[in-house]
Amino acid sequence: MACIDINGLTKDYGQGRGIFDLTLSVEEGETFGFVGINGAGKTTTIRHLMGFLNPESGKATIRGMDCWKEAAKIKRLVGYIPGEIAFPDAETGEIFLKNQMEILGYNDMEYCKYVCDKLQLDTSANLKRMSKGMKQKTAIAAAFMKSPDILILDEPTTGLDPLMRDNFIELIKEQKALGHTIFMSSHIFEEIEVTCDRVALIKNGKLVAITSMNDIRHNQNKTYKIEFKDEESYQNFATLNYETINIKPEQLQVTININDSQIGKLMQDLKSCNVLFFKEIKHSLEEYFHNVFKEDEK
Amino acid sequence: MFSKPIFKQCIKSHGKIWAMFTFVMCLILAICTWSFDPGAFGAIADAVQGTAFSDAAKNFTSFLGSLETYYKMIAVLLGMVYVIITSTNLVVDEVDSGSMAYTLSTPVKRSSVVVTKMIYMISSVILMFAIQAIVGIGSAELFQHCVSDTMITDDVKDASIALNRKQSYVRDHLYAIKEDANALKAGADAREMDVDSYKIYLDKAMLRKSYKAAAKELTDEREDIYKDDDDMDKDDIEITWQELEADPSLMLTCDDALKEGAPYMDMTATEYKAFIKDTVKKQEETKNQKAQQKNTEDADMDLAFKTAMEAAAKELGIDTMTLADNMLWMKDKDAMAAAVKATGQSQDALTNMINESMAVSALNEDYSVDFDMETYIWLNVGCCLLILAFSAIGFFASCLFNRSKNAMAIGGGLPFTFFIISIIVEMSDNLENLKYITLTTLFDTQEILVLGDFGVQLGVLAGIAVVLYAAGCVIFTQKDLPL
Repeated sequence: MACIDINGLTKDYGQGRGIFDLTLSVEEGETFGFVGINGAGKTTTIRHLMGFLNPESGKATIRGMDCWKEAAKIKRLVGYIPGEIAFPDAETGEIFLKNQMEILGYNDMEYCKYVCDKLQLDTSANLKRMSKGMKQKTAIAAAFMKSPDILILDEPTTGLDPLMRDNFIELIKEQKALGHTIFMSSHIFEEIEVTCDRVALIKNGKLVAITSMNDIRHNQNKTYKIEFKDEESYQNFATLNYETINIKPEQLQVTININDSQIGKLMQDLKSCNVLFFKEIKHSLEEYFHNVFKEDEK
Repeated sequence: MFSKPIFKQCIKSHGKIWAMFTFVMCLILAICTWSFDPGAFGAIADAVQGTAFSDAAKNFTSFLGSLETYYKMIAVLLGMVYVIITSTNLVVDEVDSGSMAYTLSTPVKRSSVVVTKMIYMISSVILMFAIQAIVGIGSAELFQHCVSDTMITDDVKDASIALNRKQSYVRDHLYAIKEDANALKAGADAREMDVDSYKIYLDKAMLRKSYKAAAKELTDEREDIYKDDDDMDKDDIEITWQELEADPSLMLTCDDALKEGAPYMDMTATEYKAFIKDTVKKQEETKNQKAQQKNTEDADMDLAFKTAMEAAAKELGIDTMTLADNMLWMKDKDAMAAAVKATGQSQDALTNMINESMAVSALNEDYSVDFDMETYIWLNVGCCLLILAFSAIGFFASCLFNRSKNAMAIGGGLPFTFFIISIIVEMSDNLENLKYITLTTLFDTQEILVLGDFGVQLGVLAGIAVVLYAAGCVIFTQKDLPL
């Protein structure tokens, strides 16, 4: 059974805002990325998972429990980072984390300390005077501190510097290694790319695509950019039957798509040409994202 | 339904503001109690005696009357501000800022969160008023010595030294003062009276004490008689000393009551019975006389006394109010001469009137600090219920809205409007019908002061509180939260 199951979830805020008939499921132990532009409905979906919003139709369940009706039970399993961080009244980060522990009914600060060290977070700082990044780190510590089975993270790295972001990614990977399920929304493709197993794209509240990162990373269809030294080679190559996606005659440049099985043939063909450079263009999530969105607009 | 850690956090984050408001309220209450001057009351009550203001003045400036003003204005206003701030802070601020997400990302049910916050709100208000009641009673005892039964006035204190007897003995045996010249002098000095008027005061005070004792006994007896009679409620059974004073014949049929009353007058029960009979007769005669003369003589005397006071005040170079506070000055030779000249009354008649007036003032002083515990507790309970109803409005708005400013507009605006309407109603008779659209008039201090009909109103306040709190909790558990 899926760990997180969203089925036909709909919340209509009017004027096209909200989420519409969203269906997806996240397997146990999977790290699931949730990508979309601002206002696409990522946070709305996550609020449903947390039981803050009551769905208009459809439902969301976590380990078979209804996210709205059994919200309190589910929270035993879940760590959460809200999209917008606002802390309750507490003087320092440490006091806040301890209060949070108390409400959780949990009493082991060890992992929390480990997380804080990892993020180089000084918990003795005044909570109200913390910078955006500090607050974000505190929020991460609060979500991770009991090393929960399920992590629901709404743009967890906003405000973190690139170095901290790497440390955060390490934390995610550690959680993943423990077999914990992670559902995170983000619009930073790099971190999704290196952590997630699958990614869902959402646009205007509707699910556009779900893809496995493996498919993107280890795609057998590759793209190469080739530039020739002279006009003759270019013309020769153009007569060959390759799937070109971009041609720049004045620079003697072509970009082609080719399956791995044909790469030998390509090499043969190129031997007879004067090649200036030959470069593989890596497929990235970002590119995939752009392509899907472009197609969707057509 | 109750979460201890959340309650603890409520205390941590909202306890300070509670302590601040409670402290300020108690401080003002203590100052009100401390600054109450029974002497000033006696004079005012005397000045307006028999006029249309006498009833109002009794409430306004008696000790409980001044406490009523505190509860009706200051306690309501401060309590209201406290509950508006706290109810907004408790729920909607956390939703608006988003910090509620942290509370709700723990395995605590939404219903537990909101019910715990409600319990904090309600218990903080109740505790606030409980502390206020204790401070009120404590300072009343400390500054006015009027709570415990052992109220010892200054004259009793000084007289007991002169008599070399215990203060409590002298308090219950005022005639002992009368019999000893030194004690009489000491007592009169303590009261700032002369011996003649002090004697009259003592007579009146003794009589009142005897009436009080007799009335208590009478009431006890009637309670036994009517205890199974459902038609008789407490007010019907109770005979107050005022009722007995108006009609002493009530106790003639009750030997126990006579026995209770007699010792205060240094009489045996039989002597006392004869004395009461005599008093009844005298009262009837006066009544008949008054009926015949249609009060003209009384009015004449009042007028004459007023003229006398004005003339004396002029002679002494002070205003009449100051003179009313210090009637003794009127016995000054020059002042008296001027008074006699102005009124044409004999000096003896005027002296009698002055003595009588001073005695009544002194008696009113004693009466004004009469502290009725039941009334005071009801004042507290009533005010507390009103504030709870306000807090319920605030809490309801706090649960209903997701934006602080909206909740503040309703939860704060409504109580303030109610309060202002109640002030307007008080100021203008034309707008009296407005009282039906404000909650504040349900806390009817006038009715509470006379222990009249206020139960239904307070019940309505409690009902409003229960309904709004319940509705608020239900809405909060059902609504969408933008966290």
